[in-house]
Amino acid sequence: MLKLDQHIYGITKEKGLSTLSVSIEMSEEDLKVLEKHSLYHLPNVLLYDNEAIKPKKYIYYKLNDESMVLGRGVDIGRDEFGRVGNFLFHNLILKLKEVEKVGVTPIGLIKYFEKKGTFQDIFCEGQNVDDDLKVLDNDTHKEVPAMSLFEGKSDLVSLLLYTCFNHEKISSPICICGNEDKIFDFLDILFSILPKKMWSNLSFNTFWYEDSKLPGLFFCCTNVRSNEIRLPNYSLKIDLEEGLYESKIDIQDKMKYEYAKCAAQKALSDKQGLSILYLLEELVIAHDWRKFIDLYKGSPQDIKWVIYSHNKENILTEILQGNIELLVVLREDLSTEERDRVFKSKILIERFIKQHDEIISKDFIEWFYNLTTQESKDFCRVILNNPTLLNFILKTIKNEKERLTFNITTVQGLIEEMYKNYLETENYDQTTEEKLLEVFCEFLEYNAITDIFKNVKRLPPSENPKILLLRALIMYRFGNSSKIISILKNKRSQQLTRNLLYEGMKTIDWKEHAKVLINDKNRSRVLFWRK
Amino acid sequence: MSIFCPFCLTEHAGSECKKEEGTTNKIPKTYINAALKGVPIYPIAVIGYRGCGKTTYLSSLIYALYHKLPQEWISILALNQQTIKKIETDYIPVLRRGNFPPPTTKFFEEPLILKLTIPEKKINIIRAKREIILIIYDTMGETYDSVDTIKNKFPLISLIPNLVILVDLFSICTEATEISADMKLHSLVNRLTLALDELSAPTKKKNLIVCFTKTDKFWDLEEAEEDFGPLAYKPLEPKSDLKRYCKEELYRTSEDIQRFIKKNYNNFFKALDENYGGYCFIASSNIGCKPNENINTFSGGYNPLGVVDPILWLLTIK
Repeated sequence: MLKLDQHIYGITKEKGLSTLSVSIEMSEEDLKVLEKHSLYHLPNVLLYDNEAIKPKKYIYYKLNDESMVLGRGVDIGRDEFGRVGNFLFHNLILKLKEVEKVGVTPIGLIKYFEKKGTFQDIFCEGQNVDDDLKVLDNDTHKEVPAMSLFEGKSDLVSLLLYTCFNHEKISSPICICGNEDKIFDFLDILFSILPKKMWSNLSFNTFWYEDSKLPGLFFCCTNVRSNEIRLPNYSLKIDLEEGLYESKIDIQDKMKYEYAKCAAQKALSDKQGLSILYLLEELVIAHDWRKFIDLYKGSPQDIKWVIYSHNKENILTEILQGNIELLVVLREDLSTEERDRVFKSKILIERFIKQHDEIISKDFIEWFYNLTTQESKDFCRVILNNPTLLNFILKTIKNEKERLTFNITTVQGLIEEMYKNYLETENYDQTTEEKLLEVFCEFLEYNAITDIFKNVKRLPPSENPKILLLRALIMYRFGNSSKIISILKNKRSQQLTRNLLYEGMKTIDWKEHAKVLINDKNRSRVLFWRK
Repeated sequence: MSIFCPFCLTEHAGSECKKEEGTTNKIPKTYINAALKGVPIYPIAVIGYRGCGKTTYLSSLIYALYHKLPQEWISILALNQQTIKKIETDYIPVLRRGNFPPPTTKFFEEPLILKLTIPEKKINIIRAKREIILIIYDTMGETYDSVDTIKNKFPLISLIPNLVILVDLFSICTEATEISADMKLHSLVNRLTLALDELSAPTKKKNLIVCFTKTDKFWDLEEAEEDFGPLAYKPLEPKSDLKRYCKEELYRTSEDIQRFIKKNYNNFFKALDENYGGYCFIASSNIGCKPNENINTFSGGYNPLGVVDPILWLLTIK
């Protein structure tokens, strides 16, 4: 059901030019707007030609936050003084939401109301008008003319759509020149390839002659080629007869233009794709991320790229607030800078750590591994707090030996962070230390390692033989001393290692310990042969 | 530097005037220069009931200024595109083809801005004026249906000192209504006066030029002189010199009509006399011939008469 309210404006002998009838209580402001836009003027070339067929004028515009107006003005001959230019203007006022719900374009509705004889040609005082009109659920009304008017004109369609999407920034009207049929077809097609929510941002006048500008992005149409008609200062002019257009629009928002271009391509060849494109856009605006993710996953790549590019900030903001699922879906579309931004988000990192998301963790490591050495230090605590991340990092360090400086700095940074953490919080994890020290030992031969040695000594005492050994190796840089390492690795050398760490090198009798080691080795050989 | 703006009729600086809907009117440079030079400016509104011929009167006025006055009297210049367009497309060509303009659909249109130049040797005739600017507002007849409509739809009237009231006496007298012609005329002045009071515009500072239009309807009527007095006579083409025409012929005609009005439409006359600073009476024919029956065209040849007289009268009183 489409509920209509009606307003009739015209000339009578008693009242002159005035509102003749209105079906509801209307605010003074709305009435003023209706009256302002209910004028019907003809150029002299038509006005004084008794044989000429006077065109009907149709207008469409947003009246207020809730309502749209579909109006028709007709010439009704002469007034009581015999003057030409007498007219009747009949406005139908419809609820915005109902128009969107019904899904019939304004031109479709005009055709429907014309067919039903809803628009009045004469005014009879006291006559009743239907104020509840059912729009038939008949596909005829939803039929849209074929796109032949726009075939081969994807540039024009892109520009038109860009103008519509950017309507708030376009103040000058769009002028359309052509015969009535072509104007109707043009408007019908245009509305059909726009999202319904956009319809209320547009307005049109199918026979413009010195009329006031309608609200919104205004399409002023004329089918009279005469010197009398001076077109307003326009942003875009389209000649439907010649197939030419003239644009004064400066395309500043490149991403929006790409979006419009994609929409134009889809409009001309892939209606389903167009619906997907618009729906994705709507879902972003509505922040309905669940539905967005589901739809985005299955969308064609060109649509994905355009949607992401056009809504980058919104999408990134959502990701930065910890929407891991969204990140997973979009991870391949992120540029280096965007990836940088995303992985520097504390909230996001906490979230994917908490969710144990492997995919993102891998992405993070890959990203981390591409940071500069200075930048990598900033992330050490994050990595330390996440065993999965830590394992990945250490594995990568072991495997990618060519990035030597980075690797050394990273591990060094991790150990320093571990130490700082212990000092600040007294939290200490043996497993973590073991892993770190083990990897670190691989770099002992490099001179870059210096300050780390002092910190190793100040870590909490440990009974773990491996940790003791590692600490000792690092502290004394035994990396190139295989004999001492062999001594220390002996199971009986735990006390030795402890002494080494906490009392110093000078307290150790290495010869005595070496003898023990040799004896141990021999005993092991004898035992072996006896078996 | 501030000048008197032709669109809002107040003094302000700048060359643009903001309209209600947010757009602007550009004040023509020629106007600005003239205003800065101190050229006298005459804002005028043409008022009257529906169908009394306001738009046709304006059209004929411009036509007469261009074509009818002796060349040595006054020359004319349109000062903005709107005025040029009205002259070139809307007004004069329509009338020259024997058609009348359509009804005015805005309560008041954007004004016509004209500059009149009086040649040097005639200066001492009409005070020391060489150039004058006319700002003329055409209005919709429905404006005068009530005090509130005048007040709300045409508040600018409070700032316009010169009002040309067009009266189609023939139609008023021949229409069958319950109130007399005198009361109908009085009612118009009454509403106007009340509206001006509501808008705090002293009526004593207004000049009213009562212009009886469509006097061509009286010509050749039997007993026309008896019923309509001097209005039944065809207005004369101005032939004498400008001084003589303004000082003698114009005033004589006004006095003759005044006597007739005072005698036959006394309430109307008294309303004018008691409330307004200056007034005069003019008889005119916008087309100068009888219109065709029933189809609102005319084929007797376009020859407006008496239409410039209101302007000439204004020039004599200032």
